[in-house]
Amino acid sequence: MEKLFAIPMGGLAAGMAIALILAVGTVGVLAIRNPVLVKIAVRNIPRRRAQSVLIVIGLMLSTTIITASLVVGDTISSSIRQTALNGLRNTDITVGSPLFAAFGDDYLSADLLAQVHAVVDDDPRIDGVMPQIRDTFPIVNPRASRTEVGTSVIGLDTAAQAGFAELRSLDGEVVPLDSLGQGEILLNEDLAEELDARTGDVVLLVASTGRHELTVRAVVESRGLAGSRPGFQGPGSPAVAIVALRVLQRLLDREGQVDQVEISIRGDARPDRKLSDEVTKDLRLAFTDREVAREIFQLLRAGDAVDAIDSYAVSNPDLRKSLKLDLEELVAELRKDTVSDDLRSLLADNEVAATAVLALEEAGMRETVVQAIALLSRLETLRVDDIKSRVLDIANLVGSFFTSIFAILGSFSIMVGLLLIFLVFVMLAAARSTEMGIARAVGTKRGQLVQTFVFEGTVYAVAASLAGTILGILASLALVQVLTTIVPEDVDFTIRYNIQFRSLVVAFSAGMLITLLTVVISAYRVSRLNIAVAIRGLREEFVTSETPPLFNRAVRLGQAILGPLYLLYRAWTAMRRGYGWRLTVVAALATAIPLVWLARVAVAAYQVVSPYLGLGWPVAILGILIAIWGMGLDSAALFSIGASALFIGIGLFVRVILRRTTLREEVVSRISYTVMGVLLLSFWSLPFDALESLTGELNGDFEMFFLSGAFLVAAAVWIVMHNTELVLWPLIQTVGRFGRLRPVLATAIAYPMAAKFRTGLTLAMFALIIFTLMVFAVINRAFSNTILNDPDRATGGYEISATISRDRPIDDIEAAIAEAPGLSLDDFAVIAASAELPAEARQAGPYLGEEIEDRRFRRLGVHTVGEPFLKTNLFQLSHFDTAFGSTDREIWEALAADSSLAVVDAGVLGGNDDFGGAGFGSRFRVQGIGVRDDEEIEAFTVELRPPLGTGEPVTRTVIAIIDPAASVFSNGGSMIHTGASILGDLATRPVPLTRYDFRLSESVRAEDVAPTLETAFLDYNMEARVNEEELRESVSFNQAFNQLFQGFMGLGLLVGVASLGVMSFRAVVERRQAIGLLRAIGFKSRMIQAQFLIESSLIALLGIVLGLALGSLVSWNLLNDLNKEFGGLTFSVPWLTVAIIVAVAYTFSLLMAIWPARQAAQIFPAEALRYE
Amino acid sequence: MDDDVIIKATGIQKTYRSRSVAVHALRGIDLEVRKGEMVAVMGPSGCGKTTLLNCLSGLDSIDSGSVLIAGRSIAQMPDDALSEYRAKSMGFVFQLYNLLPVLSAQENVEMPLLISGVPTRRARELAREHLAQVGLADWGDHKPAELSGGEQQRVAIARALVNEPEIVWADEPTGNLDSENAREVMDLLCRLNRENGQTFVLVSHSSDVGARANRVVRMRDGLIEQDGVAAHE
Repeated sequence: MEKLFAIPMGGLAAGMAIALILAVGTVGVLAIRNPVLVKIAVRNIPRRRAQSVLIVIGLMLSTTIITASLVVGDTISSSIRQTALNGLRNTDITVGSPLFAAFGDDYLSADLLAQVHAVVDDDPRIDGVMPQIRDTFPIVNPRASRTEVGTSVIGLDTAAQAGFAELRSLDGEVVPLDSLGQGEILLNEDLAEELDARTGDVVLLVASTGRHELTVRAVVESRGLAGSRPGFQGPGSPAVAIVALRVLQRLLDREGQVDQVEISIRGDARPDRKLSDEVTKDLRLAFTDREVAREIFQLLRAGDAVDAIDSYAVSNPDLRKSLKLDLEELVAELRKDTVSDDLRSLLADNEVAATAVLALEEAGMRETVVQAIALLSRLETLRVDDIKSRVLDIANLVGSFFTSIFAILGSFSIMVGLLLIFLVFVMLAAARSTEMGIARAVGTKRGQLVQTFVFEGTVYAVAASLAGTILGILASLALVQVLTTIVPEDVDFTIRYNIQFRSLVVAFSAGMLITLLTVVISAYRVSRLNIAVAIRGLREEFVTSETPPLFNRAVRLGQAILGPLYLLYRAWTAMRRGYGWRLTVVAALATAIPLVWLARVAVAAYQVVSPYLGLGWPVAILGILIAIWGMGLDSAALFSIGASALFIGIGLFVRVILRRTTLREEVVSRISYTVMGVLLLSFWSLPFDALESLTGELNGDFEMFFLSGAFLVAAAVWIVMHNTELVLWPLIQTVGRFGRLRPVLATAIAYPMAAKFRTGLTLAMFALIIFTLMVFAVINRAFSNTILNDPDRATGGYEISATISRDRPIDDIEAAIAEAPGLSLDDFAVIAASAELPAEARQAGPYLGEEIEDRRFRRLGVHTVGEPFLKTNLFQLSHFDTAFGSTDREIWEALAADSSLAVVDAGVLGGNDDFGGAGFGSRFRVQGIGVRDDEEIEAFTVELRPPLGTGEPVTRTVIAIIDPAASVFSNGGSMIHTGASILGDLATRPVPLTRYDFRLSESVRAEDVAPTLETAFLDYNMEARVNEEELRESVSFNQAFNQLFQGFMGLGLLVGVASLGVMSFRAVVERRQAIGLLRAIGFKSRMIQAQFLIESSLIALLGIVLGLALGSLVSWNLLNDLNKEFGGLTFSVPWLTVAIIVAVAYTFSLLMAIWPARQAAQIFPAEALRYE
Repeated sequence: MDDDVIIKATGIQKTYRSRSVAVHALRGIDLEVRKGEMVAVMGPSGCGKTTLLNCLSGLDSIDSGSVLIAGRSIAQMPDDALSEYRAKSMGFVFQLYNLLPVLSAQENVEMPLLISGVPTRRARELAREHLAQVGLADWGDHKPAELSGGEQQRVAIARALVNEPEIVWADEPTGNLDSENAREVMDLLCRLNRENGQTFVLVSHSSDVGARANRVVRMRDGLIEQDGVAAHE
């Protein structure tokens, strides 16, 4: 994996490592200067081993999650890389006919092949050239009665082995290519397994020209020339056969022709990026028509074309920087007198050329545009694909994508982990409040207290980061193991575990820095203690805000703004007076880092205003301002944060007002926090679009899920913690009836509820994790149910869909079925044939009064459908123009009646970004209609033309958008569907029908008919799939992934459990005397044990219930919102999953609690009472 | 055994060991306490007063000898039975009050009743009555931290007496109080002893406490040095 969140991994690792070294270095310097403080700090660690171990477990989770995310990314990208390299071996570049070849097919004539040879044969950088034909055929092994439809068969020039890795049989013997006879075939390992074939078998290759017998010469390893080639859509099928080129040329009637040439660059199979780029560039130049380039040069120099391109490049702020530079270079080249290589190379760059054409189009130079497009389509004589570099780029991209997903999903757990770190240090501080108060009383400085905690925290952080990295590696092993089982067997993709050292560096450093930062923040908070209160040991209250006067705070802000300058000044004055100045210089240097400087200013600014925030109204006003700002930016996140701040402000204001009454502080807190919690809970529970009339449509993404989880949980925890009696009333009433449990219950409730801060934090941790698990489970179930309960939405009501080879069309499918053995026309209720062809499209404007911004033609597949399809399909429509009908059926009928109408897949609507992002050649997108818009739309016009601008555009009126559920079976869900008459306009040669959708009569089963179809139409290379089976597989594939994600997020539960443990162990220590007393007045030891278990159970169960309830609420809203896009999703509680979540979470909590509970039960009363 | 004797200790010895050091806290104590007596165990710090109280009340184990409470040997009682016995028949007052900080005064007083299985409503009434007896009728809803030391100790006394135990053990009940509060607490204990006829065993090094008891037992180095009727009687 090369990049993470668009940051290069190498740089990231170095940056993080440096930051870590600086941080640890600073701690180290402080430690050397204050060895006594170090001694005080670390002596606490071995004293309470169990607690220390738990702290480390709690702290390590962040690192674990980061490590696991990164290693999964590494593994995925290296697996793709390895699979690709294994398949490609020495092949670096392929040369083939231009994409969507102008002359209609993909074959290179003997002349073109000779041209290729002329260019590459003498190039010293190239050591292998392999002309070949690749096609798919059914292969039959009569001996084993096995057939493999759609096998990739490669015809290789047997004399061109040089430069490519040798083929090896399974027992390691070299199989020289030139020994392959005309009647022989090589099968790779995967194919041999499918066909159950072995050396010597005679197999049948089924081609349009008949069935050809070939003898298996050997079974070879599935790599190199016998490996599969990744396509543009992803990994290919692993089954490959090799024959001599002549054999395929003869079978396909392509004497002297090939469809591509594979080129090996000097060296071994390892990629040499630089050399490959060089050779690719040279080859692209070589296969650019010089004459056409000259004609374009002349065309563009005439008139104002150059100026038009120049001003477009200069004035367009949306252009990517590199593209802008390319355009400027193009302008410079066009202003020269001759056609240079650089100019040709720029013109051969599709993106540059298309942008130039767009510039001309915008300048209104229509005539020039038409001519330029015609010339550009002839410019490239051959397409040069740097396949190895491209595949490796994809590998990196997909790896980063996976890491990002896991990191984002893990962010909840990381947040929970940070809460735990905070909790741990607050508790450690509470335990030592007396000690710290005395230390302060005898003159210890606040900074020294912070240092003591930081030293202790550093020890924990180092241990936790190390342990976390190791656990992360183990977790990633498990994740990868699960991933391995998810990958379907028939895909050529093997997952191989891989760890990059730099990922470990990033994970370790990130985990450690996060922990250290939290430690420093909590240590700082703890150090602000009120000495008298701390000495008296009033646990939770010892931290008070000793706010300095406004003037002092303002001065500090000024110092922070001056940043390093002020610190340097201080160092200088210290030096002059003979005080220590070195540390101040170090601090000045650290502050010179812009981020640190900014943070210091932010903290100082916060301190200036913080005393006023408690009044409530400033927070409310700030909230209103943020909300208005968010509305202006259409940002749902900002608006919601603003609104939440407003509600928090209201709650604080209520507190200020109530404090002026005679109410007790406890009551004041209860009322104000309840007001705050209820307002927040109500706001975040609203359906996502409830406030749309007020705010307009706002944009939100994953961060909204994150925010809603955080705010809902915080609000719910506030309410629960301040209204415990009400919440637990039913429990107290029921359990209280069981005599002896009453005192146990009374203490078990009273203790955690008295420590509101730590109990609330632990509760929040549990609730957050359960919340995410619940949302995932509900959404997953809704999608699976919707598709499985209503399969017609995805299949259109066709049980079987089949494809055949383009070069072997079936003239009359019905007649063919009638004649085929084992098949009867009566078995079929509907047979809908259709064709697919590539095209380019753009939307004609304006739409609803708005100009269409994107005037470029972009890729769009055309699916031409006949009357049977239009009359019988059951696909639903998510949006349609009511002028053409009021039901789905009426729209389809309208399409059948008028061939100028069309419908498009939901994938072409906005909001469904495709992987590579926008750019030339990327997919067509409809503007003006969003997936989430109302059902009713106005029809719009689309201009379609053959690829690369050949031919005149034709128009179609799009009257509807197909339901997104249908995209499961449509090519990526981004096609236009229209009548077959368009074929005549878009294609220069007849386009064969290659796709058949079958609806069966009730008497037969799809599982039986599909294989019979494949056998009957073997000669046509028919692949028939049972749609419901595919659907189920796809659903279970998705579910498996979701479960993997759930498992990953479930790691956060460990944090919650560890936190419960830390709390319980602390409680045993803190409450020794109370335990002694309870024992003295008659508590039996098992009552003490029960008390501790009930305490942990209460927190865990409350957290679980809160998480489940809030998760249900948010998923309910989420589903309602998603229904605008997808439709038909219903909310149902996945009881089994809920049961598993509850059982796992609760069991672990209980197991964790048993240990401290036993410790507590074993406390001897007399000893405990003496203990102070 | 004399029917009036409620506590009978014979030859009790107790040694605390930590690593190589052994501290002989009790070196053979014989003691009898009659029902309704108010006995003050006095002596200098470290003489074994608190250890004696812990051993007699069953909070701590003894190495040898025997302790009979109302004729039952507590050394032989299993832990659960001993806990139950403490819940029903003993009350404790400590120097540091040892109230549960998370419960209100009322809830603290209810606790022994709940442990003994008294129904909730009844426990509430009794607790309220006992708080009233110690003069804190209006303070039931307050948490210990909101009460003064004297008030906390009175809550502790109410808690010790609410179960109407046969024996009340008090370890330095006035040790943490100023003289005014100490006097009030002792007045209260004496009055309750008089009115309810319960047995009180007080451990203290304060002569004021000794002066208010029926009988003073003086200890030194783990042994009873003097056992006699208090001067004022």
